[in-house]
Amino acid sequence: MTERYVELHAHSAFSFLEGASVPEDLAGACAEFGMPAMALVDRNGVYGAPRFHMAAKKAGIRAHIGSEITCTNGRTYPLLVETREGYQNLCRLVTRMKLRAKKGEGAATLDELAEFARGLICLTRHPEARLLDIFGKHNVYAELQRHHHRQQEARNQAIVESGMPLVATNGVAYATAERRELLDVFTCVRQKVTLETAGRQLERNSERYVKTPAQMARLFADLPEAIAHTLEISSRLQFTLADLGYQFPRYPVPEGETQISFLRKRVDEGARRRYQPYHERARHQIERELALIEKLKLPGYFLIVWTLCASARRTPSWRRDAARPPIAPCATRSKSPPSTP
Amino acid sequence: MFACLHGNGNLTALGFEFSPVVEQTAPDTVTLDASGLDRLWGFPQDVAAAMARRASQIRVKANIALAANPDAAICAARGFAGVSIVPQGDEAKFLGPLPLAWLAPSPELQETLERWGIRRFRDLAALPPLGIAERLGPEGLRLRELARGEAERKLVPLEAPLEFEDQIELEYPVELLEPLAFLLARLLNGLAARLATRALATDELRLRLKLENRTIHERTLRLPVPSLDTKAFLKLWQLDLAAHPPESPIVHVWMGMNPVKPRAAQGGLFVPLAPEPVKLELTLARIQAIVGETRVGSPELIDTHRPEEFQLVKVGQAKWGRRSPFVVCQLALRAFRPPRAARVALASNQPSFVAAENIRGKVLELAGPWRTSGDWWTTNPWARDEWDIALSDGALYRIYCEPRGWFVEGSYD
Repeated sequence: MTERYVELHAHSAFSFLEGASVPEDLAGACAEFGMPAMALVDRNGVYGAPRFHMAAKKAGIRAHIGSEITCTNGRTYPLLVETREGYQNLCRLVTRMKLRAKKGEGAATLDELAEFARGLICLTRHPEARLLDIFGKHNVYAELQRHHHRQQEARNQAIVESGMPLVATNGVAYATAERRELLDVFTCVRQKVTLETAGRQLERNSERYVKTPAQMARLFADLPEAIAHTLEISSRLQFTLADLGYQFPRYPVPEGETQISFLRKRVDEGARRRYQPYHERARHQIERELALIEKLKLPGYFLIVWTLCASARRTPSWRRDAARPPIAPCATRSKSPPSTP
Repeated sequence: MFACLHGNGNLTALGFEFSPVVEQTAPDTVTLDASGLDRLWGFPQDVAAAMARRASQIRVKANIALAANPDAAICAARGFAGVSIVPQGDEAKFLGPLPLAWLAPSPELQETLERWGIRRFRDLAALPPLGIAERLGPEGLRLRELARGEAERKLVPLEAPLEFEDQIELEYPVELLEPLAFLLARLLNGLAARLATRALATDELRLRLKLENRTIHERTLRLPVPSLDTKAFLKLWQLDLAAHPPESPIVHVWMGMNPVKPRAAQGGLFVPLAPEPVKLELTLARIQAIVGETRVGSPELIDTHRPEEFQLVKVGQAKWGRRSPFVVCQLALRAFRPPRAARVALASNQPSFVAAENIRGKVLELAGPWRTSGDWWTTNPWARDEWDIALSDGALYRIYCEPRGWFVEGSYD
């Protein structure tokens, strides 16, 4: 297999009723066909991204993150995350548009796209000069899809003539062709119709599955640059969910202490109060949990919770926090036993 | 003379059987003008007996009263069970024993009369009118008139239901269509004349034939626009009965017409002249008689991806969806009906040579495949790949491949 191609426009089942495969299936198909990476662009959100990231890691491919954003002009724009700043911008954009609309609705304005455009690459089937102004000349690509459809091909001709750099995608909505039937059913649920009455709202054919690089290369044999650009864009998308870079706020500790050593001392004090005698089994379990907390770089979080609990205990309306971590009984004065292995 | 029916059942229908002037006085009371009935039945008691007989036949349980004025008849029917004949001039005496509550006075008036000890018709009837006018006002006077059976008024008649139906009981069974046509023409002319006198037309004709084998043969004709063209109606019935003949000779013919207001339409100056709707219906019926009922109509596209899918609907009722805003093809396709079966040679999974009836050539250029599939949830799923090809014979064709084989669908102009 000499052809190389990266699918940059895939919907998972996290695009509610618009995708018929879970992220794991998409990542599996991608790995099976020797595709080095894939971009998941679920509708108006990054809901499928964590599962896709984990599945891609397991399958040995790169998971590009993005989202297909609905705009107030009635169009949708797949936005791909290039950098960490891009991810932050995309999340803020989604939050902004969701906050002012009912669940499942919401659309961004072009001005909002401009406000959160940094670090994002835009694909579009409606090449417009405004998008170049918003995202920059090198961050907008005209998207071509070929699903063996006359009208779509006529539109493709218009896109090619626009002169914008082209990129081929397959607008994936399911991992395998057989899943089209499930998507048809989802469409009926979404439109509140039956299969008999859905008519042309259903899929025209079963072509929106994960195609092999060779299939895509054959489909776009007349436009090899559209295939080449998928690799170029993929190489630019350096961000993955492993690079989230989120840090909990640092907990102020006394001179000469680290957060973990400070937490260890507080836990030791709590455990001696809680377990009398302080038996070996409890000591062993607490040690295990502390090691995990250190590994996940979460001592700051536990110390903050400890402070909150201590503060809350001083108020009469204090109630047990449902989200207490297992180590909490020792770091606080709660009576619950530590979690058993 | 007036008659009143007070009781349960279809009193209105019973009333209309005896008089065209019928008043629905209350839900359980009907009053009718019985003038002239004495000429049919004789004395008032004979008229009342005829009414009672008919009432028992149609299972109406009612008190019947006849009187010289409507209100006396109403009071008698409400007050006395069975048949009552109120003698003219002696109404006050006849109605005298009835309680005043039958006249439904207002609560204040009833209380006053109760205090005075006036409880029956005769008590009120005996009071002087001047004194009543001074003490009880116009309502008191009106009650006194009623109690004396002297109140005069006109009935508020109900409109008789408009029914345009007619029937003929045949002396001997009719087997052939031709003699039946004479009977149908007679019914049609009579009903159409009745409609015309009321400036009405019809948009639906119903025919019910009782057959010798004791079954009923029913047919209905629906017209696109209201009409009174009896010749066209007769021809339509003839065509319809020829297509759906009764199983056995006919012994009884019933026909009904749905009365509607005639539609006045003015043709536009620049609108092409369309055939007269009833004549068009007649022509369509003639064509249906030749080719079959399901094969005549206007084609209407079905909402599906499946190419060429359409259904036949009644002429003039087809709905056409909006065309796609994106112009796909500037060329017109001249479709072959039916599509021509073809033999196609493939090279690299694409057509390279095509041969069909009057078509043969090497594929010089092609576009496709244009792929569609659907109905996967039915027992008849379909899938189709289309190609647009330029053949070496110089023409452009659309060919397609489906599980049945290859076909040439048409040529581009």
